[in-house]
Amino acid sequence: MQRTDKYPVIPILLILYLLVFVLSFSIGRFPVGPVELVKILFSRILPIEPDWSAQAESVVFNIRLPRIIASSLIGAGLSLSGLIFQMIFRNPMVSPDVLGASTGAGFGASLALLWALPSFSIPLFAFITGILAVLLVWAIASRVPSNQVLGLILGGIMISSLFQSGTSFIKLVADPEDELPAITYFLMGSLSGAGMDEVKLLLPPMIISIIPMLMLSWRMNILSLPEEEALSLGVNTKVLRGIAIIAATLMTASTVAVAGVIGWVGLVIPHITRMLTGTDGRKTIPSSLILGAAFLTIVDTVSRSVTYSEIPIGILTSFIGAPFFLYLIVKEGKNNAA
Amino acid sequence: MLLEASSLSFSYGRRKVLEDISFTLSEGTSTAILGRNGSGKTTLMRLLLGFLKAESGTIRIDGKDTSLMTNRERASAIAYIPQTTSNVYSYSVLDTVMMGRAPSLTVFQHPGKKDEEKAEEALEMLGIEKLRARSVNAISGGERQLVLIARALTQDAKILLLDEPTASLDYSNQLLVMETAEKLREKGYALLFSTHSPEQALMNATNILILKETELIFNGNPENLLSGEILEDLYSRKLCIRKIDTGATERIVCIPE
Repeated sequence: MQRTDKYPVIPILLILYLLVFVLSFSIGRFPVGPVELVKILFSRILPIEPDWSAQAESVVFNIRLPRIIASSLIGAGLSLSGLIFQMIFRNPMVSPDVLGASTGAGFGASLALLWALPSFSIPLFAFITGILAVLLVWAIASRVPSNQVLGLILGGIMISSLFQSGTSFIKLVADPEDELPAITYFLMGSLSGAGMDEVKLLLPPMIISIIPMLMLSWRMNILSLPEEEALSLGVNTKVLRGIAIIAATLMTASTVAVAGVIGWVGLVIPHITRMLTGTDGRKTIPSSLILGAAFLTIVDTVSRSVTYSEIPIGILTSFIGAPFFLYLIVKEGKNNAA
Repeated sequence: MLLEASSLSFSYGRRKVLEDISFTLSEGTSTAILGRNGSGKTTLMRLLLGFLKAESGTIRIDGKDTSLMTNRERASAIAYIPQTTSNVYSYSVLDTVMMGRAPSLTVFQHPGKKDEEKAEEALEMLGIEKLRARSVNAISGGERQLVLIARALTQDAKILLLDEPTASLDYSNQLLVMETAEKLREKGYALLFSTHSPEQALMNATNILILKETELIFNGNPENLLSGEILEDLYSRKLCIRKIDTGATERIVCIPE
């Protein structure tokens, strides 16, 4: 992949995102057109005489805006965490789902639901079990030094299935009247319940993960070099990798805590990002955030508008992600054979 | 004298790898490390780079004990040029060379205009400025090795460690890399390279270190190896070592008898 300095990728992506943002309001059972939307949004800060219905205003502020913010944050978070995992493990085939972070987080969140703990403990539990899963997979892979790529992927499959069984066990012992439906519905991966409370839950972990990653975006390049090269360049790889793992897992866990397990975003979007911008972290990190936000907002808009009852978003991302992954495997195989 | 290693010892668990190794590297010298597989060449490099900690002995750079240096300080004094391999992610040549600025920048700092100029300078010095925008995975192995050398120069370090710099390169690229190394030596850098080819060491080094079964059995001028005994003993082979006049210069060649 070549450097693509020819066109300004980040501004173009921002415009794309803005289009998706506006378009998403105008699609659905109660469409709000672009002009009306801008007026309604700005009426909160500018003295604009309302010429729209109270219902339109309620749809914008109470239903669609929080949902679009949530889908943007979740898309951005999953995509960046995938990119970071791919950089620190020097492996473009890993993602929060492959590394077990998502299923690990799902297990923790289910546990919090089973014990009927207060809502803030859901992301906390998701984070603890999510990071536990990643560390276990990493420990397994580092015991297979001859083939870390395979070690990471097989370790991820094993740890994922372990946490998956844990979650099944939680479902088994959960009260079938109220806990079980709550856990099952939660794990399906949906944004249908996303309101301002969910946005408030998502924002702090996203901010504290994204800001340091943007600040470290150049140094992350060095972390993707072989370990000894990175060390010889004076980089404290242990500390930097630790920070990156915490940030990536925190983002994954908080998305799981709000919307359940949404697969594939963290694998597909970083790949597309690198195709567009090249490999430099100073470009890939901000671009993957914007592209992830736009992607998941589009998918969520589709999921809530194509059929009468909502399609869980996780199903749609799989429809897109699985064939894409297949394409990557074939492409990689061809490259290696050449 | 730039670097002084005194009485270095190291073991992996119970297995002794290096015992009581002492040598120095000075400005404008090129030192080759010879030794059979498993003789501790790589371990010695890792000790110098601070990846491993010596059991006993000290390494001083400009008189300063390296065990008291931070990672960044060490990286500004000593640069590592690994064997060329293709990267997982295909950074551009310029981006790769720019990574050499890492020890000079604080953790959150991004490289700026001056850093880019430094990287360009290094590319020009090695005559590979045309590759600037190419991906490191799309250029030849020899060119990639030069890119890694350019990155080391961008580090501003005076000591360059090259781990088998010509392994897996074709003959013309081997010569290209070693000629570049010679130019850098003339500019005052101190080079240390490991190699499996005694001829490469005899031809290119101003000083040779020979490791055998944990010990440093030779430390001196290539001329002193002309008698052949030491190398014959090392490789368990009869060797013919001769100084020949190529017309342009004198070179030492080494061929099996």
